[in-house]
Amino acid sequence: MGEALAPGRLRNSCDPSVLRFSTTAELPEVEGALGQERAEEAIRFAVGLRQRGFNLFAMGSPGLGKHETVRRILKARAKDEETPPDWCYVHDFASGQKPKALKLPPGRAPGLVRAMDHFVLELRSAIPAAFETDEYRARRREIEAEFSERQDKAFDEVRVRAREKGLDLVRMPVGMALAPFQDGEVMDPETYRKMPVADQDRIAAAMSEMQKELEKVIQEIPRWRREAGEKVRELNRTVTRTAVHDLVLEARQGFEDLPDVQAYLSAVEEDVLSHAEVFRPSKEGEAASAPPPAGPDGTEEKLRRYRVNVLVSHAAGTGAPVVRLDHAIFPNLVGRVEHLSQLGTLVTDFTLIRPGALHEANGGYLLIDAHDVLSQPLAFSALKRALASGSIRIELPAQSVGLVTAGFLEPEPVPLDVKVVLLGDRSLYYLLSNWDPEFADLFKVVADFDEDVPRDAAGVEAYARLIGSVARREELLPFDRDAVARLVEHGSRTAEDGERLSLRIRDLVDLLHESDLFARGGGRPAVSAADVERALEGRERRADRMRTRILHEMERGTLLVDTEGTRTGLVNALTVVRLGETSFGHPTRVTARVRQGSGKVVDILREVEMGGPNHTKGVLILGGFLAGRYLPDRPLSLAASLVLEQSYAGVEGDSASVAELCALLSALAGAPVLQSLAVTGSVNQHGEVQAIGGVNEKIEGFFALCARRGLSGAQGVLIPKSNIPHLMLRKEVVAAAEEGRFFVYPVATVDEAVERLTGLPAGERGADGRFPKGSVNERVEARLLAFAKAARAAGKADGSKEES
Amino acid sequence: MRTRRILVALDGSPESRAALAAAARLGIPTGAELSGLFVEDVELLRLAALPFTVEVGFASAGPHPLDPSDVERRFRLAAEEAREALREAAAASGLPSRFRVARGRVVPELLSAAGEADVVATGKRSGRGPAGRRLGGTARGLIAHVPSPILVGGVRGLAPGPAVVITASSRVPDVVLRFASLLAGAFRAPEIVVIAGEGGTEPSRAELEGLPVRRRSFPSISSGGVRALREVAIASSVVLVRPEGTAGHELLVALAEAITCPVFVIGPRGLAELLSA
Repeated sequence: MGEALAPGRLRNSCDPSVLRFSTTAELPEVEGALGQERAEEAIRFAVGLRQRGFNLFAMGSPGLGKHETVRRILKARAKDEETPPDWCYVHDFASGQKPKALKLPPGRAPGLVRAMDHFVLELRSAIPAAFETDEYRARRREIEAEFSERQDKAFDEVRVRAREKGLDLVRMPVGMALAPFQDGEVMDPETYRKMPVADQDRIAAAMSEMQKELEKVIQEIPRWRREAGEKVRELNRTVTRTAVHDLVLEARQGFEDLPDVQAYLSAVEEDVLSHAEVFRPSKEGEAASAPPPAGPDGTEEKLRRYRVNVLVSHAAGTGAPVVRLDHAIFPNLVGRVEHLSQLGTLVTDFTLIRPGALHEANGGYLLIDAHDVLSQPLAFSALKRALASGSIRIELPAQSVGLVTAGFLEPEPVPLDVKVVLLGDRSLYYLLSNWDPEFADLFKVVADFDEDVPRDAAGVEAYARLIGSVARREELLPFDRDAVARLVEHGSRTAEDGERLSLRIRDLVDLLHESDLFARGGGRPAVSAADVERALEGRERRADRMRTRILHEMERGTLLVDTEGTRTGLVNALTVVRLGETSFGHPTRVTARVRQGSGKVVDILREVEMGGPNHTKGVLILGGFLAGRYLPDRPLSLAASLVLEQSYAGVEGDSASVAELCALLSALAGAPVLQSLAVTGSVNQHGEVQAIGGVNEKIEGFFALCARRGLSGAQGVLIPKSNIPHLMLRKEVVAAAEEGRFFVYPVATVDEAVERLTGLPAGERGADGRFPKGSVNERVEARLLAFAKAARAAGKADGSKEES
Repeated sequence: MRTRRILVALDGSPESRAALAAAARLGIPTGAELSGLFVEDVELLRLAALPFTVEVGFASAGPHPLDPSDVERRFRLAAEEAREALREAAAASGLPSRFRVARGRVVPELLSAAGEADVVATGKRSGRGPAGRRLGGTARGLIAHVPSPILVGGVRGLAPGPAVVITASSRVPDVVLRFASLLAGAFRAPEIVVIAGEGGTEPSRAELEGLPVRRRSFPSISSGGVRALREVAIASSVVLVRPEGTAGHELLVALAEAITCPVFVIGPRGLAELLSA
C-alpha cells in the first residue's frame, strides 16, 4: 500500500530565486506570442499565399490572444504591402438600376468627389443661363410656331375642300365634326330630311369622304408633335453643349491618366446633354401646349446622379488594410443599400450604397469572429459566396434568398481580393470541416493555438517577459520577482498542470490589472506577491457563494457527507462544479446495494437519464471488471445498484468510477469504508486507476469540508497516481499536509484504493488460484459464488416445477 | 361709383379658364363683378340631330357617332364645370360673381349680354384640341362686333413680364397709357413697353406713376414682326389698340393669334368709363 505524498509534491511552487531580475521592468519585450510558434507559422504561411482559398481559421479557446497574435502578424506584413485601390459607385447611365463600380488609385477618390461636386454646382447655374439666352427663346418659339402652323394649315386645307362640297368643320370640345352648312349655319335637320334622296346621298358621300381626310390629318398630329419635341431636344443639346463640355473638361483635369474616369466623364457629358431639359428653370411663360412636357420637378434629385459615392479610400502608401469585423451581420459584411422614405414609398439610388467590411478590407485582411458570423442569419453563406466568386455583390438580405425580385438596385460587383481570418473554438472548426464542404475549400489553413507551454526554465523566463510586456503595454506597475513567481504558480493552476503554464492571456491580463490596483492602493512602486495573492483571493471570494453554500449545507447535515467513522457500501467521491469561468470541488456520496440477480450493475442516474454517456460507460466497466476478475467462467448472478447521492443536476464524467467500484466491493465484501477519506479517479476493466481532470479542485473540496469540521489528522484524498504532476494545491492544503493533518494518497490500482479505504488487505490470487483468506477480494469472490449457486438452485427449482 | 362688370364667356375649355383667370386679375383693381355666361350652342344640337354626323376625336383620331342626347349631357357637364371654375376664381380674388346659362348661338348670345358689361372676356378658342394659333369663332365675332374692351385669354399661365401696348398709330392716347398702367399693376409688370408707329413723342404719363416706360417704333406693325419681339414673347399682358375704321380688323385677329399671353383689344369707346374711378 502506497504512502501519502510528501507535502512538497502537492504543489509545484515557483522559487523566486530562479528568476534573475528584481522587477519585470528590467526584462526585454517578448517577441511573438508565447508558446504559439505553431500557430504563428501557420498564419505566416497563409498570408504568404495570395491564391484564392488560402484563408485562415485561427482556432483555440477564448482568451488565448488569437486576435492579438493574428493582428500583430498581419499588421507587420500589411504595412509593406501594396495599398489597394479606392472604389466608388457612380450612376449607371444606361439603365439607372445597376450602379457602376469605379476603381481609382489609392487616395484619388476624394478628388473625384470634389471635382464632381464642383461640376454639379456649376451645372446648376450654367445650364439655366444657356436657356435664358434670347437665341434659345427665339429658336424654341420658332419650333412651337412651326408645329402650330402645320396643324392650322392641315385643318385649313380640309376646311377648304369641305366648303367646296357644302360642308364645314365644327370644333367640338374633344374633337372635330363635319356638317353640311347652309347660309353659314349648320343645316337644319328638317331641311335635310325634306331634301330629295339623291341630294341626301350626295351629302352623305361627301361627309364620308371628308371624314376620312379629317381622320388622316388628326392621325398626323402626334407625329408632328414628336418631331417638334425632337427638335426641341436637339435645340437643348445645342445650346447647352458648349457650357457642359467646358465644365466636363474642368472635371477631367487631374484624371487624365485614368481611362475609366475619362469614360465616366464622357458618359456624364452625354447624359447632361440628353437631359438638358431637366435643368431648365420651369417658366410659366412657356406655352401650355408646347410640344415636350416639362421635366419632372426636383432638379436637385436629377443632379444627384452626377455625384460620386466613395465606398473605400485609402491614403496612398498606408499599406494593405487589416480590418476586424465586430458585428458580423449580413449588411456589415457585404455592405447595404439604404433607403429613404419619400411620400410613404422607399426610394434609393447609388449614393445610398454603404460599404461592408469586405470592401474596407479588400486588398488586405479581414478578421471575423467565427461564432459571430455563424450565428448571424445569412452572413456566413454571404461570406463564402464572396470568397468563392472573388467579388462583393451588395444585395438585400431578402434578395439573397430570392424574396425580392424587382425594384431594387443591383450595384455592379466589386472584385474581391481579401484574406479572411476566422477566429474561433476548435469545436467550430471541426464542425465546419465535417459538415460544410465549401468551408474546407475556402479555409485551407488552420492556425491551432496552444493552450499551455511547458513550465521549464525557458518557459518561466518567457512568461516573466510576457508579464513585463503586458504591464508596459497596459501601463501597469512593474511586477517584482515574488509576484512573478506567484503568477507562474497561478499559470500552472489555470493550466491544471504543475508542469505547464496556461496561455490564457486574457485571464492573465485581467489578473495583472487587478493586482496592479492593490499595489497602487498600497503606494508600492512595483506589484508584490501579496498584491497578486490579494487579487486572487478577491476573485475567489467574489465567486464563492455557491461553494460556501454547499459546504454550509454539508455542515448542517442537509447534504449527507461524513468525514469520520466507517460505512459499508458507501464511499465519498469528489465532483467538480463549473460555473462559467470558476470551478470548485466538493464531496458527494456514492452508495452501492447488492443482491442476487441477473448480472446487471444498474446505474440509477442513467435509469433516470441524469447521467451522461461517460458516466454510464464508467459504471458499465465495473460489471466487466467484476466478471473478469472474480467469476471468469460463470455467469454473474449479481444485481447491484449504484448512485451518486443527493445529485439533482446531471452528472457527467467517469471520475467517480473508482469510488463506485470501491463502494460495490465494500458492499459485496461487507467491508466498512473509512469516511475520513474521499476518492477520485476512473478505472478500467483491469482495475487500473486512470487520471481525471480537476484534481486540485477535488482535493480542495474535501479539504475545505474537513477543515470546517476540524481536521482529525486521519483525513485525506485518494487520487490517481498519474495525476501527481497536475497537483498545484492551495497553500493551506500544503500546510496541513506538512503538519501531518491531511494526506493525499496516490493510487495506481483499485486494490490499493480498497486497502486504503477499508484498512483490510485486498489480496492477490495465490499459486492455488485463491485469494488469501479474509482479504477483501476473497470475501467478494465468496459472495459472488454464493449468488451464483443460489441462482442455479433457483433455476433448477423453477425447471422441476415446470416439468411436474 | 357705378358697378363695373366683366362678362366672361365660359365653355369649360382650358382657354376659357385662362380668360377667366385674366379677367379676375383685371377685376381686382377695378372692383368689377365677374359675370359668367355659358351658352348651349344650338349649332351643335342641330349638328347632332343630322343622321350621319360623327365626331373625330383628337386623341383617338377615330369617328364617334353623335346624337342630341350626348350633346345635351355634355352641355350639362360643361356648364357645371364652368360654374365651379367661376366660383373658385371669384372666391380667390374676392370679387362678386354670377353665372347664367343661355341657349342659342354663341356670338349673338354674347353680343346681347355684352351690352351690360364693361369688358367682355373669352378664350382664344373653344374645345380641348391640339395646339393651334387660330382664334376661335367666338373671339373673332367679339372682336368684329363688340366696341367695348375685349379680353382674349392667353394659352399660357399668368406670369410676370412687361405690359405691352401695340398700336399702329404713332400717337398713344393718355387713356391707353392709363389702362396699361392699371394692367401693369394687376399683372405685376415691372415696366410698360409701347410698340407704335414711327413719329410721335415719348410717352410720359405712366412714368409719373413710377413705372418705367419704353417705346419701340416701327414703320409698320405686322403679326410676324410682333411675334419675333422678345418683349411680346415674355409679356404678362398685351393691349391692342383698335385702328380707326374697319380696315385693321384682320390685323387685329392676326396679332391676337400671334400672342400667347392675355390680350386686351380696346377702342376709343368704353375705356374712359372703365377708368373713371
